[in-house]
Amino acid sequence: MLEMSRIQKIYRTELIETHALRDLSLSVGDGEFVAVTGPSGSGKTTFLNIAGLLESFENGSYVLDGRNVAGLNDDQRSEFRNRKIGFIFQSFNLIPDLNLYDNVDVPLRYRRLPAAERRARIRRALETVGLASRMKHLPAQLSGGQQQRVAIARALAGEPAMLLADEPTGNLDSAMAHQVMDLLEEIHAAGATIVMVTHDPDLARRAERNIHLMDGRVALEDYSTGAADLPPQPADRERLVARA
Amino acid sequence: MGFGPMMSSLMRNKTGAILVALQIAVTLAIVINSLFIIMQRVEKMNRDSGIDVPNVIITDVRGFGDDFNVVDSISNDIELIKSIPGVIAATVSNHAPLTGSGSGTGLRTVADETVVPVGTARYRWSEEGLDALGVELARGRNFYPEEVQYILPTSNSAAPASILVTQALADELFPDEDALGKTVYWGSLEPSTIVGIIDHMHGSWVNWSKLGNVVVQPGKPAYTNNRYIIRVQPGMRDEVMPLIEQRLGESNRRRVVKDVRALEDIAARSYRRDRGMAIVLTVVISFLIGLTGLVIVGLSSFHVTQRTKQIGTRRALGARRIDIVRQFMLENWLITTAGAALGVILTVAVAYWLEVSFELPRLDWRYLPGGIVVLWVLSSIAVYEPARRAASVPPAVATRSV
Repeated sequence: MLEMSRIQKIYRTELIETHALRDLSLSVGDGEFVAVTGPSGSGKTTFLNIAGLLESFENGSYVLDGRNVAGLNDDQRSEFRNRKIGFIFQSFNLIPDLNLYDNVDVPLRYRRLPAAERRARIRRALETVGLASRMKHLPAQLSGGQQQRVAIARALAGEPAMLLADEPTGNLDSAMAHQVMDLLEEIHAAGATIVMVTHDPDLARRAERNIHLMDGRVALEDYSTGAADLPPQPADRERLVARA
Repeated sequence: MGFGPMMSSLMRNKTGAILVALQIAVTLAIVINSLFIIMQRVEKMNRDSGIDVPNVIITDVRGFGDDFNVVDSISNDIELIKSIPGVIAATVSNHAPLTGSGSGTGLRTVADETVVPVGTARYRWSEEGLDALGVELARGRNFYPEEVQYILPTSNSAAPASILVTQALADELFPDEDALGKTVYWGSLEPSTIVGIIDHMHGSWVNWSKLGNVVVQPGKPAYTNNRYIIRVQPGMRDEVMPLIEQRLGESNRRRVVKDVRALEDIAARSYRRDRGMAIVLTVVISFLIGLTGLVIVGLSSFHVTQRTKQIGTRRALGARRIDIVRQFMLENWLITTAGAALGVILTVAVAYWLEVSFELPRLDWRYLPGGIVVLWVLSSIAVYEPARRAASVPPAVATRSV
């Protein structure tokens, strides 16, 4: 699904260069649920932005769903992002002036899907997250957990190849965080590929695999025990991935 | 974003949108009515006077002293003027057209004091008067030289046998028949016969609704103050004017040359209020359009700043730059259109008020679509740069925590 090889990302100002990613290489298979963890400044957000085609990168290659995305221009990246990636943001990023229906409709309109198909997808996505009955409500009329479920519905409605979740429970209390994680696990169980960036080790353990970043590199890959249907585990359960 | 969601989004943030729509409505009402008034004034200033204005010179002279012989003076002056190279014709006249000063009278078609007379400007000039102003005789004849006498302060003021009238006056006097050869009656009920019809000629007062009504009597007014109308060949005016002043000044020490002016300058002075009004309204329109443009730029820029995160989110969800530009342009178009719709009502109301209160002509409805298109274009230009800035918001903004 996702194959990154020796990705570099450098932020430059007049005075300094910051190497956010240093020859980052990792892959995510179809149907996997991967958590990307790491301390602040480790490159998690940069990885998420590049994986989600929100930012470009200097060197290396990135193949998403069989397509090398390095040469895409801005419009092509937008269209590819719209079709292949469903985003779940920490702050939900719902548009406050639009009701739930119209919020879920946003990415579908950019894809110029016919109205009938959009309607069906929106209804299905909101039913999946249990909010179909409130589609005319505004985001401000919902709890934080419900807003995040709307954001998940928005991500699902586009039927993306991969869901990218950025600290999806970061703004929620523990009860709501559990509901959202349960929902993500359900979605994953239904076959979705999920890449979740988080700093919370408890959440990371609920993923099938945990990729730990440090200084812009993969420092550790850990196959978690928390998930119900783990892929075949290596004998030592843990392996250090030394990167140049 | 679709039309429906955009409308509901605008309705939830309506204060700014309503203010801009009101600004557009007021702008439309003022711009269209002002433009209409400007065009009226421009048309008025540019209307055909029937006179060869660029090539006509007006000269005022004044005699003094007990032994001043006005008839000799006028006769010599006219001959002298006509001898200057480039002069086509010259006459003495009681007044000159387009100057703002003149004399008027009323003519009737029947000798009955109870009949309301038709108002008209009145001139007296010689058989060279038509040539001196460059006006065309449509039908009939000019004055014969023997009909033209000097009119002294002591002269008998009896009505002349022959007169010339403009076609406009002829049509008003005799709407259903040919005026040529007809008799008209002065205020004293003395008759005169129309011997010639002047195709078209403006009188003295440019703001008068019957500016085209002119009657001409044969005669050479010979008073202490006299006015000469002189026409020169095209392009010779500025060359001839100083020669007239110089030669007249040298030829007769018993009369002074008071003024030698181009009729073009005199007419421009007569229209100065119209010109001033057109300039003031043009400045007001320009200022208002500029202000409206700035308001749109300001509100759009505010929206861009306010919605940076939202724009980034839209980009992250698949919006291309052009989609963001289109969204801002469409939002602005909706506000402008709402403002224009309100503005049409306001425009018609203001036009009706101007029509009733100041007797202005009825507003030409074709100004409305023109004004709306101008505002659409203006608002599109005004919103483009903020929209372009919005489109440059990177999609990675969506993942930033602040």
